[in-house]
Amino acid sequence: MKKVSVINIVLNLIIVFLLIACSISTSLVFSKKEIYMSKKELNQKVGAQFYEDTSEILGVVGNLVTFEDKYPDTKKITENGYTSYELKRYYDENKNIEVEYKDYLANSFYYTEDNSNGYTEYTDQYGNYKTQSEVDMYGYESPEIYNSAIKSFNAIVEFYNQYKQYLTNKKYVENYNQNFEFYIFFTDNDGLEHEYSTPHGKNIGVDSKMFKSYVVYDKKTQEPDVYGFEKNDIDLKKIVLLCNSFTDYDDFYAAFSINSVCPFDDSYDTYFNKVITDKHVIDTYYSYCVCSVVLFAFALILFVISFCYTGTDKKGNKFIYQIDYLWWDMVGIILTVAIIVGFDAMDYTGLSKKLSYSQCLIYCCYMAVSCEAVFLYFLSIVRRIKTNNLWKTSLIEKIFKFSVKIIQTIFQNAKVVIKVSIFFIVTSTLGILTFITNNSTNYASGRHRMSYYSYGVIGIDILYFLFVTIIMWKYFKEYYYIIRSAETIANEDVTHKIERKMLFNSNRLMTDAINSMGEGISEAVMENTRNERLKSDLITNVSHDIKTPLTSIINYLDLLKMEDLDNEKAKNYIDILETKSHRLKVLTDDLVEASKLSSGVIKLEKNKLNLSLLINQSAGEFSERFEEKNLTPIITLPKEPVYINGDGRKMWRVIENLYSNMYKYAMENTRVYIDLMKGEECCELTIKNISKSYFKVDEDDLTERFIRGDASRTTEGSGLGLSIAKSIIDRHDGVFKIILDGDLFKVRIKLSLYKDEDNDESSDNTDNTEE
Amino acid sequence: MYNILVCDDDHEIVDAIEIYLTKEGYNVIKAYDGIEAINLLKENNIHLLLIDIMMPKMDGLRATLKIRQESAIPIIILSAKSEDTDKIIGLDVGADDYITKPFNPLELTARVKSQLRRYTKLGNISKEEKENCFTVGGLMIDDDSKTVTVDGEEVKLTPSEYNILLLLTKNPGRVYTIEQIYENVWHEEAMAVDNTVAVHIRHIREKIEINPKEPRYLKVVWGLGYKIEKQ
Repeated sequence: MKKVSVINIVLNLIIVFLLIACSISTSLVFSKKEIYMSKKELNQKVGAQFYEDTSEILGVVGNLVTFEDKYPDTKKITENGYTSYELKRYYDENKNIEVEYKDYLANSFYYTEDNSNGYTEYTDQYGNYKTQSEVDMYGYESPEIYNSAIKSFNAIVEFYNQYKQYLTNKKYVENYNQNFEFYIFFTDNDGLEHEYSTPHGKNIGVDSKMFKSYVVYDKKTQEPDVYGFEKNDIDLKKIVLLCNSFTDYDDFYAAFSINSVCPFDDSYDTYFNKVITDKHVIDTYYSYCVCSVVLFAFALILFVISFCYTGTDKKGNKFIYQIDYLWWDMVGIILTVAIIVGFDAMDYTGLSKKLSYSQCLIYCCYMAVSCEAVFLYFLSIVRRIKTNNLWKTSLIEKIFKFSVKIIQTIFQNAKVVIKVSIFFIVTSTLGILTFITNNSTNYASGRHRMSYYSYGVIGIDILYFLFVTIIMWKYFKEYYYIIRSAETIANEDVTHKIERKMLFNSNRLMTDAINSMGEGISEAVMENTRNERLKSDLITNVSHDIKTPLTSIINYLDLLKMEDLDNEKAKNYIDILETKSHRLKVLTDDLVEASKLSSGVIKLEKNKLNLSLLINQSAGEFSERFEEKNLTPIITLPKEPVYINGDGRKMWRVIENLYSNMYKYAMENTRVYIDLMKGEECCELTIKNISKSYFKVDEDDLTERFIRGDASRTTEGSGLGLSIAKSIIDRHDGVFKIILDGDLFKVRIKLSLYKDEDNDESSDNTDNTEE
Repeated sequence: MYNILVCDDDHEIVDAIEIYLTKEGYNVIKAYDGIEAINLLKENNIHLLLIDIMMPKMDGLRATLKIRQESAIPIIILSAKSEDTDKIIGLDVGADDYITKPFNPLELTARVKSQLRRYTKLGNISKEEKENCFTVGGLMIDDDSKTVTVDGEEVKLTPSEYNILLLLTKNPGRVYTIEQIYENVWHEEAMAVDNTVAVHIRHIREKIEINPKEPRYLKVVWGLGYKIEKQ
């Protein structure tokens, strides 16, 4: 496994850095563009807004004219010494001068007559009482007329205020370069033509470049012709109505417009104009664009370089990272989905529509991260291609392999598949057929009477199920027969053969397989037994060959002893030779016995055996030898006899070996304990004595062949005694355990008790002892 | 003066046996294979044959079979084969005794003596059936005189020992448990932890058997009891 190199990390970091820088500059571009773009919208919006305002003014302008014409009395009043208007002043902050204007409606009022008090009271619109003389002096109007008049006046006032504002702002616009233009034309009753217009008002409808949007109102048609205006139709109508209510002139014509190229001057507009005209800003915009492109190009170049160098180390060896073992197609899908979902989520939050700078930054950073992820993904794929791992590390490959495996399995088990399919198809067809016939008879006849056809179907059903049941019964019978036979082979008789008389081919095949397995096993067992026998025969033969010269040695030693030897030393040597040759004899015999026991050549002659009696007998056999060493045996036996299923002579051999062990190794003048205990299932024989000398040997090693308590091997015996004893107990399925507790030497033998069913064939075998 | 034919392919063993037997006053004739033994047997008046099994030309078993067809002299097989099966085969082909190598010289001479006694002296006596006389092989108990003889030699037994041996000899082959022996001899109930009988049996064996460890007559049936082997 390769570790990621520093160069790779650095390269990646640079790319990420570049991408982020690129995204920052791009976000700047996007945010600038947004300002530029949104200005257009704003332009229109401002224009419309302005139109909204000016339309009112326009209407009032018209009314103003008509009002004067409609109420010539006002002039009269003026002529009579009364002024229908008051000269008022207002302070123009911009020009720093006082401007005088005429307030035509300053003194205008109307009266309400109230006769309830027996005399006529006049109340004006403000609720002030007016005397008859006052009324007479100023004259009054009926409320209806007055109301319309008031409306007009209000409109005029409104207009005037706004117009005033307009004039105030006018100074910001050079050469009347604004979007508010109007032109009103009408002919009065005297046939005089009146014209009201802003300087360029007459050009409405002519200079469409200048006035992109305008409305022309024609009295005759009663309908305004609207060009370019999308909104404020209601307001237009209002104006028209207003005009109507005050004009009786047939020839009324009004036009007004907004210059949308250069909207009315305001603070926003100022800013806008600044942006629009500021060449520096536009330069920056382009420089950002260039910067983005350059950064991206750099990143792209680094990408390409990375593609070239990834997956190759300095020596040119190809390698892949641990991460390249991920299924690339699955990763690709996940990556794509993740990026799309991310973009969608941003869309929902409205990021892509109205972009502020910070939003742009987030957006572009996201882009950068996505780019980096995609880049790493492609790097991984490049590495896989370089090392020919593209196919191996894909999910498609896994799916492909899996499908191939399934198909193979189906083809391998084609027989089973076909059999099961046939069974399934036949069963389900019959089931469906039965269902259909049953249903059709019920519904068609409306009675529960079955046709011959359905009887037939049911008959076939029954036959089919009988057939299946018989086949199944046969099959499982054979199957369980094979299982039982196989169990016999496994547990009892390896040479057992299963009969080949089978109905089903599959069972026959299984039988053959098990039979050949059994043959193999029995051959192996026989081979093993033969080997063991050969081994033990070899030992036996060798022991014969040893015994013949040994006989001579022993005999001639005996003869030598009978000669008159004056030399005491020589006599001593002869004694030593005699004991050693005797040991050699014992050793040879024990060796043969041990080898036969462990190889299993010796067959045990098991029968019902009274273990407590055997212990008694053994005690009798050994009584004198124990006395010789002054050992006192303490024998504890259960009251009732303990029967085991065992070979008497072999058991005697065990006891004999243990007793002679005691005779050899127990400390003199001590007691030795022989305890027999009877349990539910088994009995336990424990033999304890205090050993004469210190034991250095491990408990388990004592039962190994040729291991003896004294490492020097000076004492008599073959060293096979305990091993033989253990082998015999093992052959009796018992437990033989030696426990060394300080100088206390303890042998514990566990044997299962005799059960009646244990030994039916040799229950009467009391004679098979020595001959 | 008895003539004993010793046959073994191992010259040293034959020589050693010759020394022992000559010391006992027997005349030893030596043979080194089965055929030689058969020829010598024909040529000489041989009273006893000591023969090894594993020998060249003709092995001991085949030689024994052949000799048994013509002669009834005691044959003792002397072999290194110590398996039970070997012993059974040896006795089956007609040998009277079976001694395993390496042997104890004293035991060998004792067995030779015993066989010769039975062959020469008791051959005729045993045929006189007395009423209260029980005979198993070379073991004879005369209940009238309360005497026990093994191969014609009287053995001295204590009363308990005598009674035990009598009980067993009356029914050769039958296995008596310790309890049965106890009840029959002492007329008391046996105690479980008592090895009196076992000790007595051992004493008897030491008196009547040449090799008490490999008894010919009084045998232990381990875990069951004791019996006198049917001959």
